[in-house]
Amino acid sequence: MDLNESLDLLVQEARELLADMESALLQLEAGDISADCINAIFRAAHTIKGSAGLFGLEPIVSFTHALESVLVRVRNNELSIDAELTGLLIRCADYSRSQIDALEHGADLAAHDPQLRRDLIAQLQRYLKDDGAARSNAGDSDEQSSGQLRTWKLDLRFAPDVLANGMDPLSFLHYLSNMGEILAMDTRTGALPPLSALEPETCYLEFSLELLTAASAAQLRAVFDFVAEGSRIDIRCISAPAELAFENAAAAPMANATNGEAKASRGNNRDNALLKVEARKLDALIDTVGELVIRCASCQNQSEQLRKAGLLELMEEVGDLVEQIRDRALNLRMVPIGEVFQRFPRVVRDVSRELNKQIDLRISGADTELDKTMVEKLTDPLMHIVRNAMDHGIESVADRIAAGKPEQGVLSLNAFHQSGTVVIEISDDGRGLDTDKILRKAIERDLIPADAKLTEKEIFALIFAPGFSTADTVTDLSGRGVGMDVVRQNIELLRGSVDIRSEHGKGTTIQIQLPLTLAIIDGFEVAVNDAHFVLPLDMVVECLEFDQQHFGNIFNLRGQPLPFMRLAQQFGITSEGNGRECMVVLQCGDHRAGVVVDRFVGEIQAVIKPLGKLLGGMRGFSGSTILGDGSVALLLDVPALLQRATQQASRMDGLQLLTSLAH
Amino acid sequence: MIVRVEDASTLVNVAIEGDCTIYAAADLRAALLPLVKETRPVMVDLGGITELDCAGLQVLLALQKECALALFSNPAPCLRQALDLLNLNRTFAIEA
Repeated sequence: MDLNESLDLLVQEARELLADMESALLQLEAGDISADCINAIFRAAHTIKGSAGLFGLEPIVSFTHALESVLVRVRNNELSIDAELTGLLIRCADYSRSQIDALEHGADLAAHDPQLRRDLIAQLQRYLKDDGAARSNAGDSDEQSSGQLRTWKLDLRFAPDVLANGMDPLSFLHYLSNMGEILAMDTRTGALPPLSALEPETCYLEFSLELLTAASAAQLRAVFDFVAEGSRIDIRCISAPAELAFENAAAAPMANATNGEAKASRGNNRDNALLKVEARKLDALIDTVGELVIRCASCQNQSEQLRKAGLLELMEEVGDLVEQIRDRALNLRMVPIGEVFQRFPRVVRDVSRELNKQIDLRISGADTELDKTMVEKLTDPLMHIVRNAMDHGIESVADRIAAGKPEQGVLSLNAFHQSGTVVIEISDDGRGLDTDKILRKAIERDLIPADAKLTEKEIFALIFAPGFSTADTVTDLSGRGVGMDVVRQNIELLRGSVDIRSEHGKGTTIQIQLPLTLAIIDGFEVAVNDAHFVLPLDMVVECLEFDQQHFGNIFNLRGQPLPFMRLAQQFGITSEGNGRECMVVLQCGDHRAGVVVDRFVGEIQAVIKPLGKLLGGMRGFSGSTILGDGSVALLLDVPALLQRATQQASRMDGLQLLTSLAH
Repeated sequence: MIVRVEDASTLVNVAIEGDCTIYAAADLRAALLPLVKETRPVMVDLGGITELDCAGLQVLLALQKECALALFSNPAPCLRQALDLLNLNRTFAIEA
């Protein structure tokens, strides 16, 4: 394997381990001092050290070694966990992470913040009475660890002459105990004869043990490479459901086992659990599936024209299968949003300390899935909103008591699926948005005219304006007026929308709505003259013939006013003008509006292609797609359209609205 | 490796000292063999063992298995370590 690729894997693995370590540390800090927790922290440090050792990354090895040595003492109950130690461990985890970041960016690790490193190691060493002993003990296992911790069952029946050949089973076992943790050990003395019959140089003992280690099968087998022929060494992985036995009547063939075999067996052990796939490969797969979907649509078109018996049914079956492939391929990219959420306990802990506030973070719906690329791009906006909520939203303890609220503020993160979208809510029970203050600031900054009359929603929307900040004091965290506009931009880039609900004195909820995926959607194709457009099918509520039951921009839908817009007008296309028009009723979040087109074409699977640079800045489109006949259709940005339709309609006054309903 | 045997009328005191490894295993066995027939309690002091391997351990285990009157005490650190590692503390009982 290419060294860089392996390094990437190391970085990725270390990040995951550090995340585990952090969540375990936070649990410790919350007072949940369980053996599991301490083991999780230890394993993380140990594995990072081992992997870094394989690459000879001395600065990482030595640092995690110091960390690990302290953890060994904690695990052996020689040290008790207190707030001071937890704090130190958290700082160490931070430093480890920064080392990993530096590694990823190819920076010189030795020069990476040496002052902090020295400080931390010095502090760690205060917890080590006899660091030297721990060092030599743990040091042996350095090179052995790689990959995940698994439990191995080893059955060792050494050849009788193993002792005579100068090998001591005891030292093998000792070596194994340094490669991991011996969970169970059974020494069978049954074959041992009476002293009178005992041959001092014959080995009578047999051993069975269970070893928890990060070492691979190949590494474990390598331990016994030099054991004389005639030994029976069975090594099996028992932590994965699929058991693989490595049985060797003699040691010689074992030494000949090829690398390839070892790799294959390792893969088999893992594929029941997780398989790491490069994101690039996944993207390529989805791209191809997208093309397949397009071609399949063309085939279906053709077969409909041919009207050949059997062909249509066959095409339909193929279509079904393609649809399944599409869904499964897209599912591969879906990851739980918990990946983002798991960063927040730490942030909330740090920030609440810094601000001297008491904040309880509640997370729900962490298993809600959405597209991996979105998860990555969501982190920053969410982080911003959360920091804002803690800084501006939740009051200080004194203010909360004065307002008759519990001392501890509540910040909740919630995610769920709703009609083809993913909704993420960040709510706090803080002071809420102060509409007067927002208005005043907005007028101060010339964002709106001094005499503007705005609805509550419009006022809330002002906080997304560039350069807006209501904070009286600028803190390290927020209030510098950069942020919420960037948050909105980022969310909009993901074809999502942001909504704010707030009640003064009670709290604020920021709701982010995102599409499930960015790559392929079920679409609804409509046409104005010869221009084709695609709407996301999830947002289509109903289709109806457009009659004259309307007034201005308001349509009377069974007695309810519905704002609508003509697509032809909107995009300056000449309508077919044969007098017949159709309307699609669209809904996105709370907004509902109609879009009038010339005709409906039908449902299609649309593979979304991004718009080129030239068209990227256009409002109202969120992408393009290729239709079955090879022509291009634009994908309409429904939230933007709805907003426009609602704005146009709201220019009418109430009287007109009433008249329109009376029709 | 030296095995000191001290006859103390009602019991026999034995002290094993030095390296109990494969090089000494034959001698160790030879020195301990007479104890198998002993009818008095045999007190075995294991504090003087300086090094131990499987061969030495086997001899000790065999003695313990065959000689019900042998009482082992004062294990040296290397023996203690080996018994811990092999999970033999119950099989190879050591008097407190």
